[in-house]
Amino acid sequence: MTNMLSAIYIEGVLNVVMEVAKGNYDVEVPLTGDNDEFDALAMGINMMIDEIKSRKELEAANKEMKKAKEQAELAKKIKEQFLANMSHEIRTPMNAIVGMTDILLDQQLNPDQKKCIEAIKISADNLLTIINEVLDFSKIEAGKITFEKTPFHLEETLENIIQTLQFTANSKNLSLTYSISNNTPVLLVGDVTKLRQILINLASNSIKFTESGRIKIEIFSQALNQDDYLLEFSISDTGIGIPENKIDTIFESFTQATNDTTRKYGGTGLGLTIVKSLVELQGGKIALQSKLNEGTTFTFHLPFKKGDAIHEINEEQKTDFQNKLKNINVLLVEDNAINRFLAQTVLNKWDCNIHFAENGRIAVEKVSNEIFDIILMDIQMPELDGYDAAREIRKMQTPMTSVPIIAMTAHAMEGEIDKCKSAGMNDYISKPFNKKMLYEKMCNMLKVNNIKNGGGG
Amino acid sequence: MGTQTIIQEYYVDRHHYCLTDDYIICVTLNGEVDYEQALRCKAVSTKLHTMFEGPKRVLVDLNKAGKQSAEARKVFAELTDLGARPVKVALWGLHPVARIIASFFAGITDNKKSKFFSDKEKALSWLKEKIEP
Repeated sequence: MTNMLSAIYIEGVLNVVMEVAKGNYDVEVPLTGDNDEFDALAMGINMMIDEIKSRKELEAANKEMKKAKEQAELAKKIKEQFLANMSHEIRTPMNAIVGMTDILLDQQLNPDQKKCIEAIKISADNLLTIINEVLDFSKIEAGKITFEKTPFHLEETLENIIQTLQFTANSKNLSLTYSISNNTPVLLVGDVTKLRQILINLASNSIKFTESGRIKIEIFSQALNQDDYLLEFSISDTGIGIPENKIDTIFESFTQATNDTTRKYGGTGLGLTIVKSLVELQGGKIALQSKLNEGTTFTFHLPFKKGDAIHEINEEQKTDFQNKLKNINVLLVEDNAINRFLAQTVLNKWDCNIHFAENGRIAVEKVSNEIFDIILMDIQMPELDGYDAAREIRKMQTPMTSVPIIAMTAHAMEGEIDKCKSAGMNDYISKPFNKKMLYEKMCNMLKVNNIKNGGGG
Repeated sequence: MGTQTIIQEYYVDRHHYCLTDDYIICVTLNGEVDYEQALRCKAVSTKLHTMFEGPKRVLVDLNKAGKQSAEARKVFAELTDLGARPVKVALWGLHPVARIIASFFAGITDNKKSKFFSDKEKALSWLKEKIEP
């Protein structure tokens, strides 16, 4: 190639390089077809341009993907927030309905009134179950479910479950029994709330689908070593059974055995999905055997640790606090009048001295001027919410800075406990609250903090 | 070296793939290779690789080869990494363009596995050398 041709060629290469510098990758250095060094250079540059173009496209695709991921995460966050808000919005009136119904049932009613109130109670409980199932399902789907490891009495838990379901079983003349094999430790360590949820779900399903006969909960245990036990729970009934072709899909979301089942028995179709997830997320397995018109047996295995003597002592200590809420000064921080009335009714039964604050701001003012033994704190309130009120109380330079605070909230989403604790609150109870649970939490709190600031308690 | 006899051959457009009686897969690239062609080349190459047992050796003639797009090279990279797994790839060509294309090919393969030659016989000799473990 002559010098002149070389100069023309080099200018061509430079033009291509400048285009690439400007971001135009759809350019190529032309090849002469001589397969010489100039063509080799051109080929090399062209392939490098191609490489850059490909990487730029990949970069752009990654950027798009990142953007899409961020949007998906935002949407997920919005969904969670929506769920939290809905949960709060639904639970607040439910709290009032369930609580007021309980109060009414404790009063003198004529038989017709009692029947009506009981019907309200059953409907409210059913509605609450459905709400809880939808919320649990959302938590599982979002991977936000966590498991606790606390000591518990297995037999007490079973007694409690039977007590809860006995009324419904009796109303259908069904026998509901349980048995625990002799080698099972009295105390176990695990998530008793989730175990209760699984057993109640399966046993109430059995009651629902059994017209006559019995429901039996049997527990067998196998010692894996000195501390670890594998428990087998078997829930069997003499109910309608599940058609063979439906057994494989019965654990799937929104599935019931037949459409007729949904019409006749109701339910969300989420119960068994939740049960399966709760078992499997704890490292267990669930299976079922069923014969149409003969009955169904659900069997699941869960690992537990054996509880030790220290746990037992703690259990014993708990009983020392029976009837110790008398004359306790309770500051009830709650903006909703119905909820205030409801909590007041419950606290009155325990002979507590109740003081009210309608929002967080009023509560902080009261705490800076008065002495309380314990604070029951709602979360979502005008002026100052429960989190900020707790933070302000914890910043105070008075003995009241360490007053026990139990959050009482209709927010039922996972993570709420952490949020309350990081705001300085000691414990958490979700609304509609269980009276026994509130009593125990209050007793525990007063014992743990050993605070008796005054009020004649 | 002697002449090679073709046992099986395939064409992907103008690109030629064959298996010779000395169990070497010979590839002659003719012109540019784009993504679609690369996918078909990959299918043919995999077919030839699965036709016999033992180490797979490939001889690539780059004398008439044109530009391989980046996407095409990614397909070839998958071929050497996942599918056919040749133990040796000898690339050969008489001119500088072939050398450049071979360099880009080397960028997507294990350096020990591939080598450029400007002589076909030397390329074949290297392929036939005892394969070190």
